[in-house]
Amino acid sequence: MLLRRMVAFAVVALMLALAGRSDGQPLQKIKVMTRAGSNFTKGTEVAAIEFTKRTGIQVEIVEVGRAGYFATLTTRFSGADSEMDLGWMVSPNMAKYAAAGGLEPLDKYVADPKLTPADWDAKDFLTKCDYAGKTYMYPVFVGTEYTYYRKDLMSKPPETWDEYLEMAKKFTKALNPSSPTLYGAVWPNKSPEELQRTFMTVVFSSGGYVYDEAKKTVGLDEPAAIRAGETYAKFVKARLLPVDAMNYAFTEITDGLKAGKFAIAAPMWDNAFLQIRTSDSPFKDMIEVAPVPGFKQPDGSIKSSAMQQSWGLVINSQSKNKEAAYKFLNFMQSKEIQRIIFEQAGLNPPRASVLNDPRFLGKPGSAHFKLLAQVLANSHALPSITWLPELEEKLGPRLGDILTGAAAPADALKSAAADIRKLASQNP
Amino acid sequence: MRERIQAGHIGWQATRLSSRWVGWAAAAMILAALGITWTVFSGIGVRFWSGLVGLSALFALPIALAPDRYRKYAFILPASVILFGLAFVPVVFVLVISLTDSGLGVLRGKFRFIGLTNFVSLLAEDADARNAMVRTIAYVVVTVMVETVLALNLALLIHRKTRASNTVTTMLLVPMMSTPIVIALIWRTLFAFDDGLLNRLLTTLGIQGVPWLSGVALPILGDLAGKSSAMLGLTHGFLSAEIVDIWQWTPFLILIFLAGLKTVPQDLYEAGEIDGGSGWQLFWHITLPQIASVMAIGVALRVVDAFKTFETIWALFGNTAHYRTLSVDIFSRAIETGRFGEASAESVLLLVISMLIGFGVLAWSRGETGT
Repeated sequence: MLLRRMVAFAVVALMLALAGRSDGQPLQKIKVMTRAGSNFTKGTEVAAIEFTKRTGIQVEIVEVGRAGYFATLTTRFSGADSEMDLGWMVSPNMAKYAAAGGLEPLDKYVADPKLTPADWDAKDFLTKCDYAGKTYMYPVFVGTEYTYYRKDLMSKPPETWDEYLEMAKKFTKALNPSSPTLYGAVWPNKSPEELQRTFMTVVFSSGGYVYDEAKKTVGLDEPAAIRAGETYAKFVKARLLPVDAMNYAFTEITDGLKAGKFAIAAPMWDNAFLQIRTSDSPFKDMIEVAPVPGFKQPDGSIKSSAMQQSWGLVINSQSKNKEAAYKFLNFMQSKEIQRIIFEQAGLNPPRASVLNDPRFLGKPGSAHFKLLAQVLANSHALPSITWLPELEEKLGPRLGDILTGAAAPADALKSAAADIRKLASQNP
Repeated sequence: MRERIQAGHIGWQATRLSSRWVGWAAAAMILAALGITWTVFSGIGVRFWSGLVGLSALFALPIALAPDRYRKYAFILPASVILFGLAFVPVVFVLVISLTDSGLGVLRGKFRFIGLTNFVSLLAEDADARNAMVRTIAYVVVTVMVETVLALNLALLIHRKTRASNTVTTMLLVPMMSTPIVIALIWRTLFAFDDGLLNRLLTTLGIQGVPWLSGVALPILGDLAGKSSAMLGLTHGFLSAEIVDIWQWTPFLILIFLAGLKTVPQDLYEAGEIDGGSGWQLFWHITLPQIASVMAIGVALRVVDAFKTFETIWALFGNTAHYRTLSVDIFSRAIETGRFGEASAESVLLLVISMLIGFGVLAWSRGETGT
């Protein structure tokens, strides 16, 4: 009896002792989710060290692999999990999570003079991400697409897709056994991110569009988009692309450029440039960048419009440390830290003042800044709709049909357009 | 205390007093383990620890307080509760969600009950889901058939006692023991068109490289299928995935078939030889019938497993629509696009199809063998 009472007392005492631990002490730690192996992690680390020194708030960086990053975003930022305080997010995906209630709007924090210094200057950002009238993300990095070409093999890059086709024929070994490169052309074709978004760039350059969120119309079966599809088909028919082209993503193409496998890679993400220039590739100084190929207009001008997307930090709506999270976000996006992040992590600054800062001319990562500003000025963003992933899901298989020759471009794009119209009607 | 513990098994001859000592001792040990763990991992939140202590007390108390004849149930209670919670509750949850419009924008009680709409949509309206189903069935049929034939032949070879049998068996089991995703990633580098080892070997032999990981239709079969080649999995890429699966999982069937072969009485063969039976006749009339039930179990297990294939397809092709099997399609719907209701419905369909085929194989085997 005595032993039983002693054990029962011990259990109750233990539970009371644990319950007595207070959760009310100010938390001096925030968790940031980043994409492993990317400049984003490096940039976050750089900012975190300085932030902790100045504020005492610890920053724990949680790296998630590239392949599973978006899957983890869904589980962590869907409004049901409070593990992460901040996470890196790409602009096209932001609306989906904002609509799900997974993200914290930033407006009240930006307007609070105690949290946002007067010189933070929100208008200095080249872009920001809004949904339903609220701002959810200011970018830490803004990116676009370029043409990567070997300047030792060609005096100038292709300016139009027709030129691209002809030049690629010269540098594809299957067609020209004396070609120094294996393939004359390549672009990212892997689902779900790159296949659809690269095609959208070609559509925009062709003068078309995929989905107009203001008018709620689909442009995939219009002549401009079909011209883009037929352009793809020409490259496939001429056997200019790798036979397993749909397995080529950012990493494979960057490695291929470094290995001298490709003469031209377009459209291709701009952040490969710094990776190539700072690698030990024997071709690193021979690879140059230019605007993506366009289409000749009736008046003789060339229209080229790359895609623009930004990456930034978003605050988890379920975070228990929103103010501390915003302080870090604000700190990371200040002009001073943006300069440091660029110098140490090579992230393209999203602030006009930093991008145009003459102090950065001549630095390794800034060689393309003038081009970046030029391309961004003519670039387009993806539609800010919550069902963008579903739209890309419908487009992906049809683009695959074009790339494998299983369907004619017009048929494939008409089929995709019909599916997307149905989706649009289900998502007012 | 007058307890006598019989060596070799847990059988207590104890008084009522000593059996309660066992219960309290168990409760004290659990609390001590908790205390040590708490000390080591003291950064974990209060709610977690309170819950854990409470739960553990809940499990320890039945052990302590239960009368002797019910004590055995108290010991298996924690494991049963955990198994029930981990296995049964998620299945019921998925079934419920499959009948709703749950999605990323419609979570936590805001979703509506929509009946069988998700199932109808997947089967009748969503071509990509149907293609994934057809492709999965094709994948299962091809891989399991080839694995069965290969495994049976190899098992028969290994079953002949030779000096090398043990070494060969060990080597053959290595693929099965490796992580599927690692295997698939290694094969991806082997299959690379330009600089993969396979094509380099073929080129050395004067044979043109094969577009292993591409959507190019297979010769003859793929050409006959025309535009349906991707849907039916009649592409080089899909064949590559099947090769990886066959390479990794044939050893599993070899093990099972070997176990079956070892149970076949030798005197049956002796009798058959006396009656003048040829090798093939002995195999067809003795070996096969004797191991049919074991084969059926192995095949059923492989069928169920092949239906769930995810790592191989994902590692080789990612989320590319032309190669998606049901598992990858479910993942894409749930995680990439946040359509939880549809993904749950597709999971239920996957479960039903794999169960039908798996049990079908077993039922056929029982019918054939009379067991």
